[in-house]
Amino acid sequence: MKKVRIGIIGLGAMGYGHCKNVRSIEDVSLTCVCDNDEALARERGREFGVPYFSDSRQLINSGLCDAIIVVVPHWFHPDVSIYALSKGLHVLCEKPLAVTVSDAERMVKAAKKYKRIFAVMHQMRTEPFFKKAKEIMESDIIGKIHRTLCVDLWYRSQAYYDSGTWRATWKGEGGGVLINQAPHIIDLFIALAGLPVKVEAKTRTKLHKIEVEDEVCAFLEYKNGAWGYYYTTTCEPIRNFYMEFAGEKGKMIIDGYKIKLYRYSAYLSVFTRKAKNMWESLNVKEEIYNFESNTSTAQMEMIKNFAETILKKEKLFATGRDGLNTIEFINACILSGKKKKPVTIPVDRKEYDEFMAGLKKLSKPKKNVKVQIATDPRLLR
Amino acid sequence: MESGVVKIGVVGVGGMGSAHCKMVKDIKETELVFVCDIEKEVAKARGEEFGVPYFTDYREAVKSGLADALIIATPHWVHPEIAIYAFKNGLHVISEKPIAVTVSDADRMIKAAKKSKKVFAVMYQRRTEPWVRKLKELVRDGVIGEITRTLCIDPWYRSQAYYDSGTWRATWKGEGGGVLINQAPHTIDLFMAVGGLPVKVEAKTRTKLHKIEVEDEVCAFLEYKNGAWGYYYTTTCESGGTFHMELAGEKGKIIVNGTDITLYRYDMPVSEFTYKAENMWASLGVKEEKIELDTNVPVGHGEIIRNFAGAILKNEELISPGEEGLKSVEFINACILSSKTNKPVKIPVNRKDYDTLMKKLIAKSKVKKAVKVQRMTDPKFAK
Repeated sequence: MKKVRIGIIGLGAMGYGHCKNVRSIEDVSLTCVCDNDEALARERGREFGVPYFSDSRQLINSGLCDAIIVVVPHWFHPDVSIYALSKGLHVLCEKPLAVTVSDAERMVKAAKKYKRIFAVMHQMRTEPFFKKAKEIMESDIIGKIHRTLCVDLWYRSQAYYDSGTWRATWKGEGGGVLINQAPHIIDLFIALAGLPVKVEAKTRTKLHKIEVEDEVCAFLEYKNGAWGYYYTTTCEPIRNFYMEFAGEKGKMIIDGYKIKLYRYSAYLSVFTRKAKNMWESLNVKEEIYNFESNTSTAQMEMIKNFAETILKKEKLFATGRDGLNTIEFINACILSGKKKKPVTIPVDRKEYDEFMAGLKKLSKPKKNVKVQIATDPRLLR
Repeated sequence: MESGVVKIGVVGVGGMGSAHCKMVKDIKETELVFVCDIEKEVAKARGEEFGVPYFTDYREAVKSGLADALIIATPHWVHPEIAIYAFKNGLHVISEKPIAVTVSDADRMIKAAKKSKKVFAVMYQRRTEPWVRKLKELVRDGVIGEITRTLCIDPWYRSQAYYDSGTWRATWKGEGGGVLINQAPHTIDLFMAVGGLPVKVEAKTRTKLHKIEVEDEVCAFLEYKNGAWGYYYTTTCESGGTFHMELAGEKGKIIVNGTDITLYRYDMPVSEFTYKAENMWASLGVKEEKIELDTNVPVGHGEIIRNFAGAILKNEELISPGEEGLKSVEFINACILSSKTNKPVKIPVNRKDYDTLMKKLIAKSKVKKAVKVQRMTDPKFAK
């Protein structure tokens, strides 16, 4: 079987990790690397024994690779990805796909136009708990969804935010917890419950000295009228995510790597009409599933899936379209929070672009930066 | 007090009240001396069942001189009127929850209780449960420090038959609210006790699944005095049994699932660690603890009644003081007012605004059609 030749663009902490990931996957080979810091590019090129570039366009046009992994700062994802797609390369882009919905949409359209495989690194989709949750939703066990809840907690210290000039600035990242930490869980939440049609969010900077948000809460409304709630923060210790999906035939609760499933003996709305005795209650069967996390191998599985989709027409775990949906949700929260008004999804592209341009203008260079380049140790094998 | 026994009359014996009668008879420190119900047949039947005199007018019952104390288990709207009358006539009172439908009524009750110097308790019997006792103890002892975020998700289930079982049920006129005033007060009482009373509420309420005029679904964004955010949700449109509460603090966190409590203790207060950590990936040390409960404690309605008698007889500290019943009414009123006016509401709730709103809602309240009367207590309580 032919191998997919992969180039990696962006060799910071995460890009370096992907170089190692690629080398340990059978269906792919690392054939070139690129970083605009030429010294870094040279060092990595030597380490992995592959040609290096300091201009992504040169790598894309080199003919050395069939596909690229984009690991540059968020704002540059669209340009690099779209250029590569237009030159016939397949693209696996880090999350978030883009900072704005208009950019994300341009990327998705480009992939369609040039008929290339376009995937996004939402690697938590490979988590066993998520696969089970998705199976539960797809087999209609809980039925039509009546209510959702998603609480996603991260913790970051000030040192984390001080570790890079680009971190937690409108100009450098285009958002705070929503754009950096939360996309993984937002992606899963949307994959399971669908996108809401309306968001009323509050965002604020609570604990850290940063210009972007470190706490978010949002009231959600879905197409069928169901309500939901979403919360995320980097102010609270103990990494955890907690989701509830209450449906017409049951309820599913995801508490970290545990799923609690409640199956109702009847359709809720039918039972509600038909029950005769005032205290008659639905019969509910509870099932509990525990899972191990695959954090340390998840990104490798994503790369493998990307390669297999190119080679054998497998199905992508997370498509560019999925990545776009996550950006819709993030943009809606930021816009609603900043403008203090409900925002409908799809987000108004023009309004968001103008709004973001305004925020970037106000963005100030950071003081007290102590540069540290290191990947979250939990992602290392 | 003669021979260390509190003589108790129960007003409203059609539903929950009849269960209270049995308990009063069973408790050593209390004696059932009369029953009272506006419906003569009900009053008579219970009087005969328990072998005590019966009344159809609470004033006569209070004035009879038979009782030292009243348990009020009538529909919510009349709790204040009866309680105030009882206080004025020198009786102690336990009111069923909620103590009142409106904050202004609750104020009047509390004022009357204070003036009379009589014992005033509210039937928040879940306060006797081991997990609730423990939760309050943890927060009171400052184990998690200043609270920085709260979450409370309290789903219930009720069928249409439940709502059709009484003309007063789920009407503005009969109850003055839906899930908030009837099912949710127990949890709200607990949530207020441990999370504190928010200062601002932005709520949405609606009637989603049932044919009723009041709300069966509520969500509310909360803001506390220290700026912390919270979220509250309740409904009667889902299966119950998945109660979930989170209290995040400076020094730790408490998570409650059902009645299981998990406590997390941090090595250092969060805000301190956030500025002390040097390595970008340094993370705060956390100790997780599944809280063991002391299940060897008396629980339920009976314990509230016994404790009430204890307070009267020997100054025992009340488990559920009447004036604390105001907090849940503030919260309930804030949610309803916020949703009906579509704007944030501050706590304390403006008394006049709420009375005006309630008057409007009651004026539009319609008599229920197709009611199939069923009078029975939730089997979970009828032991």
